[in-house]
Amino acid sequence: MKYSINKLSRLSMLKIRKDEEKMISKKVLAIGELLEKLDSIEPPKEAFVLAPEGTHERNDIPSNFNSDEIIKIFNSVKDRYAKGPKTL
Amino acid sequence: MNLEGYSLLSILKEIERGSINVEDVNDFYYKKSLQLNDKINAYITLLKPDDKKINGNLKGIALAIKDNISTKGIKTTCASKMLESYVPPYDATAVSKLKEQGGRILGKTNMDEFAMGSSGENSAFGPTRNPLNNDYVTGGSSSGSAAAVAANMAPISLGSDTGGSVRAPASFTGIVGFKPSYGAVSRYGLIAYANSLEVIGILGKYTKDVKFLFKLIAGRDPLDSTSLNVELNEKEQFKPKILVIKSFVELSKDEVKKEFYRSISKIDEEGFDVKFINSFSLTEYLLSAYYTIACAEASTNLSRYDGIRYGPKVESTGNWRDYITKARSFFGPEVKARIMMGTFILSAGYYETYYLRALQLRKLIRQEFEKIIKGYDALYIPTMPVLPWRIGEAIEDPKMAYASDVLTVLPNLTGSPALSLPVGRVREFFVGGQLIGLRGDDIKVLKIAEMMEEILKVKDDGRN
Repeated sequence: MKYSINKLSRLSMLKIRKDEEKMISKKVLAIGELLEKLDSIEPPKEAFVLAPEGTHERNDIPSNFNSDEIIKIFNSVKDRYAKGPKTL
Repeated sequence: MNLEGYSLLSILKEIERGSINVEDVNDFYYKKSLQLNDKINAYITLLKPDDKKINGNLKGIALAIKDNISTKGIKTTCASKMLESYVPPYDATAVSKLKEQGGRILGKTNMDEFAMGSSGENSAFGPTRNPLNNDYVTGGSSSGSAAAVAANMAPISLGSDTGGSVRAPASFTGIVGFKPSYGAVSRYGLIAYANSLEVIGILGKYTKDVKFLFKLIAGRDPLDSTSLNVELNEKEQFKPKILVIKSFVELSKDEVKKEFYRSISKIDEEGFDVKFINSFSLTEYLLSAYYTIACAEASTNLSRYDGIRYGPKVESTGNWRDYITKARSFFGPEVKARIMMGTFILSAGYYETYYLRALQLRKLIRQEFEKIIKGYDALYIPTMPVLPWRIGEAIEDPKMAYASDVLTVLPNLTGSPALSLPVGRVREFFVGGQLIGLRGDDIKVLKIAEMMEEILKVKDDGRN
């Protein structure tokens, strides 16, 4: 099962007490249902970028910001930083 | 002295005139808190204000602060057993600014543990009870900050808003809750839950009080690189152009809808330019994007509670993994569930499917929001699709609690300012209406809310 409490608790180093198990399972399944909706869409490649420091313009992507460059760097290091434990 | 119903500004005016003194004001709120806290459970820590003379705009008035905002020398628990005895060695920037302006701390307010929740029930110190009916929830996560203001246990309070945590309890308790633009108030000293979404907010009886306090705490802070200066000057009187998205209103229960539409008729009659559009195409994905990002950030931010850096030390004879697992057992069920899902979302194979997709979706949501709001001063929708529920109901049905965030998460995803104010009444409860502006338009949103308050007079008892 994708959202097995045992697997998830081991992955996140959390001990679930017997009396919490039912409640946490319900919460995990409820969040899981929300996640599954993401499967049905195909958004564009570029990720959300936070506004740079000190500005509050509406189109707040700075002119010297090259997202292709950032994504290239990101792709080259993502195995080091972006991926979590491989225990699941 | 009875200060029930008085605005913070009118109290300050009376102090200025010499008709009341600040010691009596603080004494009123302190005694009221002592009297009601057993019933309402708004405070985790209550402090007796001292009588030292303080200068500044706040004239020594004591305020309530949410228990996830660091206060030097005062316990800051995040309503968690994990931080039950944690005393920060420094003040959050928002707190320092209030102190510099002559503010005192009346107490630290109850909340959902680590700000995770929409009802105020997920606290290790017990649920906050709604002052309007003690069997019902206050809304969360800034439950104590809202209840304290609504029950006259504080003149005004600070909360934090990650997905509606200031606006939801404001709506459920019939007060004003303001979530500033992302970065408008420094997050330095706000204990992190989901740092790309959260912001320190303000809860007060009236919009003018909230605006006054916002101007005191807003601004760029070198200690928070995401902070920025927003425009604080007010425009002259203007005719607000308001946009209503019908599909958002239709998500609400009938009794909420009815009061909300009634408020639209009133502001329309008074000269607001109100236009409707049918839908926001990404409505269905708002909660998915929000919960994915919030859980992922929570799992990262809360990894510091390992019994070594933060959290109680534990006895363990096993290896480091046993030690950390044992130390993390102090978290409550809601926090555990979100950390588990956040860790799952960021794990190999699921990162691209969920987290990256949620970030991409967030960008699309922001683009659509900016496109539809072009030419308008603010979006106007209900704050909560439902009225407060009975304490315990959401624990049985967590889906209901998560779904109730559907109208409040949009401004957190876009970084926009948003404000909830009471716009109608149903039985003993209020219906909250929510104004959402473009990022940086904080004062404009506050100004429109003031104008609406004047027209709707939902809470006008003549003492504000």
